[in-house]
Amino acid sequence: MTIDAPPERVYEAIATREGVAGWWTPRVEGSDELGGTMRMHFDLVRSSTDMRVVALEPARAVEWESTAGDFQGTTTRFDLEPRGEGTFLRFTQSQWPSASQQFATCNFLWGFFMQSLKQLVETGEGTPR
Amino acid sequence: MADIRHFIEIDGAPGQVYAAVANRAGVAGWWTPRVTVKAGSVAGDSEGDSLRMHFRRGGGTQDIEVVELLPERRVQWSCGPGAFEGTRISFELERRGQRTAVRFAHMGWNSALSATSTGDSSCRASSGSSRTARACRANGAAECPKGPKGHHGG
Repeated sequence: MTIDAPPERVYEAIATREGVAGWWTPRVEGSDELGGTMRMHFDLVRSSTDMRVVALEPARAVEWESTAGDFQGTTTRFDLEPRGEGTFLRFTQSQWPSASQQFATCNFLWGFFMQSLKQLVETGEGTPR
Repeated sequence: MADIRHFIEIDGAPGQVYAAVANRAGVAGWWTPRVTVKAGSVAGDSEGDSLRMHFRRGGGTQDIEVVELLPERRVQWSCGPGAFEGTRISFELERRGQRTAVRFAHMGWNSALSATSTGDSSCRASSGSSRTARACRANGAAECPKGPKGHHGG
């Protein structure tokens, strides 16, 4: 998707705990440093997921490996490219074992949260849940 | 080949959800506001009808043939001329108490790494990315039509 903001600003929203709490889930604990692990709490559905930060390339890429919880075993990656005045974001969550109902549910929800990320960066206010 | 799959539950009866998918006016209420019927009935509510979605802001058009209409259960489309050409779309509905479970699938994509973008060609703009280059070679960088608010269609 395309975001009307430079890659540096999109990167901030993905690579920091405060940023993530602004568009995904408001309760994020742990370390957002390279090699650190963040725990995202999804209070509405009483679950959580642990994301180990395995790549941080300023203004270019962020990658998380899920080590526990709902997404265990999957890899979540954000690739950023400048596109005119804005950013082209390519979001990928890979290594799902099958196209299960959980996969389809998450696919739908990721669409919602990608829109939230876009709104956070463009307007200062996302719709974290 | 790659498939897009979504699962949602909707607070409404299967008949209501079916009505939003199984005819021209329903689709125009949530996807792109301008939907015309290329052939067949004006309502676009018969198997064999062909709907044409008109996307705003230069998004072009997408023809969709209505392949199956199974009231309150299933709608299947086959995509003709447009960015989705050759792909298939299905909506499977299932009653869950007062709600409806919807299994949506958009099937038959050439590649999951298709570098779609709202605007210019991703191949041209992202030559520095080997991942994108691979995707573009695999799929010719087909663009998604734009939805009513400028999102990717589909």
